[in-house]
This record gives sequence, C-alpha cells and structure tokens, in this order.
Amino acid sequence: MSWWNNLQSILSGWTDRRTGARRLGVGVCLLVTLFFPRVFPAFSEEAPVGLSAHRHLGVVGFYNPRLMYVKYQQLVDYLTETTGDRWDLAVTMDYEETVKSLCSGKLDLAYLGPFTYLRMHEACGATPVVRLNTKGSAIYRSLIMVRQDSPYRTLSDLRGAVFAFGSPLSTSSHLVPRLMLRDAGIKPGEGLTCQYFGHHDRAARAVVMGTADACGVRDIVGERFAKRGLRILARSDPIPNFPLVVRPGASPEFRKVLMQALMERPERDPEIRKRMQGWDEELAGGFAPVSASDYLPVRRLVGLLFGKRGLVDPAELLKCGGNG
Amino acid sequence: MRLGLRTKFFLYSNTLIIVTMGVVAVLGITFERKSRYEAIVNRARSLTEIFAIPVTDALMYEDLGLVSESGLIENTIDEVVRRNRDLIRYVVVVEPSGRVAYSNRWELLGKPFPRILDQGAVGAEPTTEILQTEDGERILEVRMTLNISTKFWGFLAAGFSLRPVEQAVAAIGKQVAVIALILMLANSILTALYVETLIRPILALNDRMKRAGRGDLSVRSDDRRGDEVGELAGAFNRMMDELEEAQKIDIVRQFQLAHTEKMAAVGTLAAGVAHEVNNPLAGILACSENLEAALDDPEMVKRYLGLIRDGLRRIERTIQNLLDFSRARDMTLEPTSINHNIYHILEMTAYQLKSHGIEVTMELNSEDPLVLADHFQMEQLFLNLILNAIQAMPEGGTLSISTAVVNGFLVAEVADDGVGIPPGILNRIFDPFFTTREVGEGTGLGLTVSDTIVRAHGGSIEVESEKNRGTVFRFRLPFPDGAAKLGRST
Repeated sequence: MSWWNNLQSILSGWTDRRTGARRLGVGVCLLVTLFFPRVFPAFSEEAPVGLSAHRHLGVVGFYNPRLMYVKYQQLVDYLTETTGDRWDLAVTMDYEETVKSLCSGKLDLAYLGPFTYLRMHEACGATPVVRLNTKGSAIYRSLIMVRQDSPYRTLSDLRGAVFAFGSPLSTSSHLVPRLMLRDAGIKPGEGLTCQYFGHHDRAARAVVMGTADACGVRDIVGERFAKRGLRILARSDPIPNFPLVVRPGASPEFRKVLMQALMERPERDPEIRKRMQGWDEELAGGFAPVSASDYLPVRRLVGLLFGKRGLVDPAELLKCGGNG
Repeated sequence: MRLGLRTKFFLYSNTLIIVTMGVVAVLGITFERKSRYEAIVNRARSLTEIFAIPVTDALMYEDLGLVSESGLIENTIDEVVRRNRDLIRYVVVVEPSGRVAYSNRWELLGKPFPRILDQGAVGAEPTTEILQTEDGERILEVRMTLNISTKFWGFLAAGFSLRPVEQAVAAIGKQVAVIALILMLANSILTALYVETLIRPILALNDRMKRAGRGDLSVRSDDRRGDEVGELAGAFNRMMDELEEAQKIDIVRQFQLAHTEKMAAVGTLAAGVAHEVNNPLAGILACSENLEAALDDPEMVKRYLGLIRDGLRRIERTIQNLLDFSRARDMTLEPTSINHNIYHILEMTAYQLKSHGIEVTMELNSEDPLVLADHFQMEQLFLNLILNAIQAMPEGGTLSISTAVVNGFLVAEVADDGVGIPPGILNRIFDPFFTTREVGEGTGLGLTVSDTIVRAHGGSIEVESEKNRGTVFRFRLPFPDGAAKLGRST
C-alpha cells in the first residue's frame, strides 16, 4: 500500500503547490500518460502473451460478488478460450482497490466506469483497450428516477428532496446526476440532501422503499427499476461507455490479442457474436473501439464539479454536503 | 316389471363394482389429496426455510456493511422462482417496518405487506395459510422470520400454487374413473360368460319345468354337472320319472275306467239289443214253423231258408256290433269320419231313443270332415253324450246333433231340451264318480271318460245348461297340422 500513499502524496504535492512549473509538469505527465503509456515503467514482469499465463480481469464492485460471477464469468471464459491464457475474475468491492490493483499489475484488465478509469489513468497511466457497446451503443446515459406515484415532474421539482447516489466515485450514479441537478439549478448539499448507497441498485431500491425521493443510476439499472415502481424523470447527455482498461506497461502484443479477442473476432465470426448475445445485457452488445480522448468530456465534467482535485481526492471528499 | 336372472345378476354385480369402486376411489383420492397436500406443504416449508438462510445472510452482511446486498436477494429470488416455476407464485422479503423490500412481484415493492410477522414470531415454526387469488387459484403461503438467534431482519413470505396438486388429484380421479369403467366392462363380459355357464343350465331347467308343467312328462334335464345345479336337474329328472310312471299307471287306470264305463253303456244298450235280436228271432221262428209245413215244396223251402238266413244275419250283425263296441282296444289314431260315428251310434241307440219318445234332429257338416282320431273312442264319446241326453229327457224331447268346422277346429254339439243341470254342480259334472242319479243307475264316469277322450285327442269339451231348458255339450277337436282338415277321398 505504501506505493499508493507515495503516489497520492506526490500527486497532492503537485497540485497543492500550484506552481506554473508543476502545472506544466502535470500537463506533460498527462500527455505522456495518454499517448505514451509505455514511458511508465512496468510495475510487474509481464508474462508472454498466449503462453498460459494466469491473468485477471478486475471488475469494480458494481454488484454483490455472486452477481459479478453471474454476469462476467462468461467473458472471462471467453478470454481464456481465445487468448490462450488462463483468465480469472478478480472481484473487488471497492473502486479504489480496483485502481490500485490494476496500477500494481495485480490485474491485467479492468472493467470500470469512466470516472474510475480517469482516476486510474491519473494514478498510473492505464489506458482503455475497448469500451462496451451495450445494446449496440458505445455510449450510455445516466437516469434520474423517482417513484411512480411521486409528484416530481421536472428536475427542478427535486429541490429539498433526499437524493440517492451510488458510490461517490460513480460516473452515472453520482457525477452526472450531480451535474444534471446543478444544471437544473439545484445545488447538491444545499437544495438537496445527498445520500450515498455505494451501488446503483441500492440507490434505486432506497427510492422504491421511500428512504430517498430520487436517485441517479446507470441506464440499464434505471430501466430495470422502471418496472419496479420507479419512473424516469430525466436522462443525461451521452457518456462514453464503460472501458476495459489494460494495466500500465502492457505489451502491444497483449493489447493486440485483446483487441482481436474482443472486437476483431466477433466482427468476423457470427458464432461468437451469437454467443455474446447470451451474456449479461451489459456485455451482450460486444465491444467498440475506444481512445483515451473519448473520456475528455468526463474529465471536463469532473473539473466542473470538483476542480482539478476531483481525480485525486479521496471518495469521501467528493460527497456533496459531506453527509452519507 | 319382472327381471330375469341374467339381468338381476348383471345389475347386482355391476352395482357392486360401482359401489366398491366408488368407495375405493373416494378413499384413495382423499388419501392421495391429503398426502400430496402434506408433501407440498413440506416442500414449501423446506424451500422457504432454506431460502431464508441466504436472504438472512445477505441482509446481515448488508447491515454490517461487509458485503453489499446490491442485487443479490432479487437475483436469488428470481433464481428460486425460475427453478420452481410450476410451484412458486411469489416470494416477498418484508422489512421489520412491514414494507416489501424485495419481491419478484414488483408491484408489491415498497408497499405494506398485509400479513405481518413481527419480532414476536422469532423462533416459531413457519406459518402456513391457504389464500385464494382473484383468478381462483389457491395459494399456500408460507411465512417465516428472517433471524439469527433473536436478531430480526424482517420476514419472508412465499406463495406456492396448489394448482399442480389439484390437477394431479383431478388426473388421479379421472384415472380411477377410467379404471372403474374398464372394470365394469370387464365385469359385464365376465358376468355374461358366467351367466352362460352357470345360469344357462338353470334357465334350461326352468324351461324344461315349464314344458313339464304344460303336460310333457318326457322332458329331462342335463344332470351331468357336478354342482348344485346338476343335483337340482337330477332331482327334477327323478321327479319326472316318477310323474311319468304315475301317468302310465293313471293311463292304465283310465283305460280300465273307460272300459268299465263302456260295459255299463253296453248294459244300457242291452234292451235295444234284445229288441234287435228278438224281432228277427220271431221271424225265424215263424219261418221254421212254416218250413216244417212246406217241406215238400222246394220253392217254399228255399224261400223260408232265405228268410231264416236273413234274420240270422241281422242278429249276427247286431251281436257283432255290440262285441266290436265292447272290446277293449288300444288307442289307434286314423282319419275318422265324425258324421259316420254319429250315424252308427244313433243306429245303436235307436231303440232307446224311440222308446223314450225322443226325436232326433241333425245338422251335420255336408263336407263330412275327417279328424285324426280313434274310431271306437269317438263312438264311445257320442254314445256317452247321447245316453246322457236320453236320461235328461225322461218325458221325451228333441236331441239335436250338429258338426261344423270353425277356425280350424271340428266343433260338434250334442244338445237336449231336458231337465238341465243345476248351476251349482255344473263345474263338477266331469269329476270322476260324480253323479246325480240314484245309486246303481250309473257309474258316474260317463262324462269323466268323455272329457278324457276329448283331451287325449288334443281337444276340449265344454257344457252349457239351463234348468228345464236343456243342456248342450260342445267339444272341439283339432285337425291334423292345425287348420288343415283331411279331405275325404272320393
């Protein structure tokens, strides 16, 4: 863990001093990170691709661990079959831990939300290899949901309401809804009581159970709860879909193998596409090309909400009104 | 309506089958319903109890902040419902506050659950209750608390459809009905076969008995069966043997009676016979005297001898008639002219009729029909009836005799206009030894024998009488082969 603390203190040091040189340095670092990831040293020895190395796909704890296997084990099996390596699912319950594990090389690939990706990239320069193509779309949206029988008709009606968020580090369950509320003239933490439930499902369920008045969730979760007593009050602008991020220092061959497995082969082989359609609905649409710049809007969003520290502040600091 | 043995046996055995099957079916279905119901209650309780464990664990970890429930309970509910789709209609996880937190029935989420278990139910057995849904489905609801020791996280309610049990029981009911139907059909066939082997000899025996009852004493039943029916047939046969033996004795006795009666009639005719003999005898005597006086004249001798021979021949014929009539004979059936019999008997009784001042009128069928009969018995029959009529007309009168063919029968009537028979004794006149005359004036068998003769020829005799107006005896004899009558050969 010491490396993480060191990294955090370095990053904090840079921003705290707020010197021009440091800012330039951060900018350079960012550029280098975005476009020349291999400048960063590998945190672990990379096993040769396709020689039965033991690899791990980390997934941010969107759900209960059991559900993670239910949803993602088929993708892991597919990677084992197609890459020649042995893949396993690495389930972590914590967004931060996923970041640390990928940066340290414990994970070879991680499936995470855009904001977490940006923090990871900030931390160790990890870059995406593909992004989700859920229901044929490389973007997704955040939905703000209320109970079907509630009086709310517009976002501005939510003034004074109790709002349920997922994790403070969640893009679609926190950042985007906060921006939407802000755009509607409601200042989270002042005109709105914020509550954090850690997961999209729990946030939505809090509204169902009446603990909260409204919630912001990822669209596939929101659509599920649209059948469970909630209705959609507002949809966000498109958000670049969830990336699969390769650990820093991964070889071009490894990236190529992943690209082939996740995009080229399904494009060529209808059997594989058909197989993917049997996977969880998040993954059933396959994968789409991605570049680091796709997430610049999210980066801007973070900047708007939290300033530059948004990418490095601990989760607790990102909460609105400081409550939870 | 009288039911035959076959029908009775059939109805009895099928009723027995229906009742037995009915009782078995009701008991079986009741037992089956009970055991299936118990099985589903046990299964429902087991499922609910086992299902409560991961739900409680998920709630506990969530509560402790160790592992987020985030979707697990809903997923588990979906899984359990999917795997028991035939049975589970709903699963509901209810918070301690009484509101539905998780369910596969989304419309219930967040709403108060109507049937509450509270902290007080911790440690108790699961509650079961049968509910009726709006569409008529019966639901077994099992409710149990979600707790570890006395720590209470709410409760779980699961609704199990009883429809599969009800359908299964209904299917068993149908199967039992089909089996009962098959058994009834099989029983019907077996009964029919059994009736043929068991009841047929009884029915055959019954048939023989009826024939025997109609007078055919020669019938015998098959007594080779080793069972009670065979014994019955044997007893019947022995009885028939005895009856036949008795009948033979009776026939002999009747024959003797008939002969006795005939002799009596001959006695009655004696005066007439004497008269018949006496007249030629007087002539013969006179001729013999005259012959003596005219021995020289061959012409006269020859003439007187001729007259003597004629007289003797007349006597011989008279005597021969009487002998013929009085001789005992076996019954011989042959085409017989009833008209001829009547003429002959009138000739034999001419003296009696004349001496009693009785006039005879006859209306005989001109076609002279022949019946198959015993010539001498027919003559005896007419003799009896004519003598009877003579005795009924002591002051003289008219004897009317007629023959006719009516409906394929020869009908003959012998009527007098005498004293008549009192109505009180009319039904006894054919009884043996019944007589209204003084002792020694008759045998009392005349009409009995007449009746016997007519019946022996397959005919019937009846009597009509009115006091001081006369009596009519009417008998009918069948022609051979029913309506056909024997034509007289020309």
